[in-house]
Amino acid sequence: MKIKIHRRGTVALLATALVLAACGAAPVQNWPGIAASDTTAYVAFGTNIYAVNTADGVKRWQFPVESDSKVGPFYADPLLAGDLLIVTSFNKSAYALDPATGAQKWVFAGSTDRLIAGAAASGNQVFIASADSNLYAVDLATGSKNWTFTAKGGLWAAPLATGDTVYVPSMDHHLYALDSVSGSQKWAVELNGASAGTPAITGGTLFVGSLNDTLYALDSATGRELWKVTAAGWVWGAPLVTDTALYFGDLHGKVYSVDPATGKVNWTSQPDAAVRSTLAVQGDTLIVPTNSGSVFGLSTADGAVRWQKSLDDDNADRLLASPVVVGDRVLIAPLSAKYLVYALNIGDGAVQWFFDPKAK
Amino acid sequence: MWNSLIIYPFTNALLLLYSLVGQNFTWAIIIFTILIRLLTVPLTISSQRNQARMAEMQPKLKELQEKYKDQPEKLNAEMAALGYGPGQMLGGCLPMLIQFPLLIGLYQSITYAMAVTPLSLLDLYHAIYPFFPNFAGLVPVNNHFLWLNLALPDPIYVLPVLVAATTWLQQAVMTPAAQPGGDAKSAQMTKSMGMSMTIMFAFMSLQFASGLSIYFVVSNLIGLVQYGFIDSKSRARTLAMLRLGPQPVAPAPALKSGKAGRKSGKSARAGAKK
Repeated sequence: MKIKIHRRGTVALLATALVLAACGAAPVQNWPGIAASDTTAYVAFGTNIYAVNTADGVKRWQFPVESDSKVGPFYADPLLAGDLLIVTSFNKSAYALDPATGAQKWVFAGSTDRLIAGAAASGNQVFIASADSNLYAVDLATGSKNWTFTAKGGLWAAPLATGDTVYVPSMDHHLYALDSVSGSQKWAVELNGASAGTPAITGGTLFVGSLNDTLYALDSATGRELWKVTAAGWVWGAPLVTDTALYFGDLHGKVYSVDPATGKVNWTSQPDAAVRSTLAVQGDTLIVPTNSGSVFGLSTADGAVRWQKSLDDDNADRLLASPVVVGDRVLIAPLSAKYLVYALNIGDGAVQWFFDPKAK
Repeated sequence: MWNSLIIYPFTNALLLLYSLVGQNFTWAIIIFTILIRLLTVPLTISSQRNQARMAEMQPKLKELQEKYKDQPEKLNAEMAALGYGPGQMLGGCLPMLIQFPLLIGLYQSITYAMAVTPLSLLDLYHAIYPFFPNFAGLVPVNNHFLWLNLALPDPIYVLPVLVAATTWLQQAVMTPAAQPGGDAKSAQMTKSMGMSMTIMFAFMSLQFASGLSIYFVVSNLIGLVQYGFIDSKSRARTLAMLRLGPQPVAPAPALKSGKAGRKSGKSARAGAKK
């Protein structure tokens, strides 16, 4: 009896340790990533990448076919580059897949830390940002490494690759401009806060958000500050640039429309909660997902709310992933909800279809 | 409620310390652990004293249980006279129960402040008070210290070994030695639980962020120091364990009053010989 008591106590304690360790091993670490062509949406979340028919939400394929803890988890926005789909994983590897079948073409395993951000591509190169502070330039066709650039801190945002320059935001409070062929640094600017969002560019002006509540407009050739807008909270998502305006949201829950030439704020709007994601636009409707589980359709002219769709009924309490517009629909991937993807009509927010990865 | 009362204040305090000590998160963890343990000193010492006193009563309790095994009412009366009752038992547990949420909160706030994933960084943003000075300048927290990435387990297993050693030492020092005539089964079980705790914490530090292992080590060491300051017996016991020397055998209490455990060593030893 005495031995039984001791064993039970020991077993109970060790079981507790195992449960605690298991709980800490693989929690959800990020929101889903999503990208789309005209016909197929690619969704990264947890153990798999899913290819989904954008017409009806039916799954085309998933990668890996059987869940493999050594391959995922996937969270970053996938990237369509040439005839490949590039996906990055928290397991420190990037994979090139066939967008039609999900078959693996190559894998890049040169990072020493998680790949939190998605990739960028330009010419025949793919640029992979890593939390190990390195930007890896790899050959698009083979996945072999061309060069490495080391920042002073982790890279959590996908770089922006345009022609001969790669712009790399870093958690070390800097934005770097690199020569895309050699990887040498052209310039770097201090952003007074970490930067976790991909920059945007139009003409010769580069726009980048910072976690010090600021959106900066920089000369893309020199990094010189042209103007800045002070926000009410962290600016995390990438700015959205159109011909007439620049749109972004902040974690305080404000949405801004700004003149990209001067930095003059056209209007601001305050939906119901923090805005983490990059916004999307279709025609004169601006799509704004919020941290409360609601999607807003705002007028691009004045920020007035045209419609609001709450996904709360499906326990979608956090909409942090950037929306993707496909035709007259916008795809929303909640962090936790009954379904992984919702396709909403851009005109009124009505749900057109949803995607359930577990559905046969 | 839990977040507002415990996690958010702790996380803010931890980050404030981080900014004050030159953005060294290891020192912030160490200082904050010390501060929390100092705040709970009265609770800890009360609990440890009660625990020691209860252990010292064990031989006498066993004797009473044998003597009055057919007279439960008399047994209860005698046990109460010895100072053993629900009030005393609660008095031993309550301080531990009160400080337990604080220790869990500290553990969680360390994880919160390190914010090693985008999701946890987003949660950190909402946890920080609006008036916090220069929060943006502190993010992300510098996780590197010596060979360690505080967000990852120690790659060369130094911290898990330290966690195991300090946990074992704390358990060994604070678990009273078996009393002559005491309950051998209970003593064996306590010893077994102590070893299990050591294995459990070592296992956890192999899996969890090394920042949490630093917290475990510092917390264990402070626990040892605190125990050493309870009274001369515990101090002697702590020092003996640290020297790996023989443990002083705790004296058995006298029967007459609930303050038996505080009697002089001489009279208590005399009681034990009866």
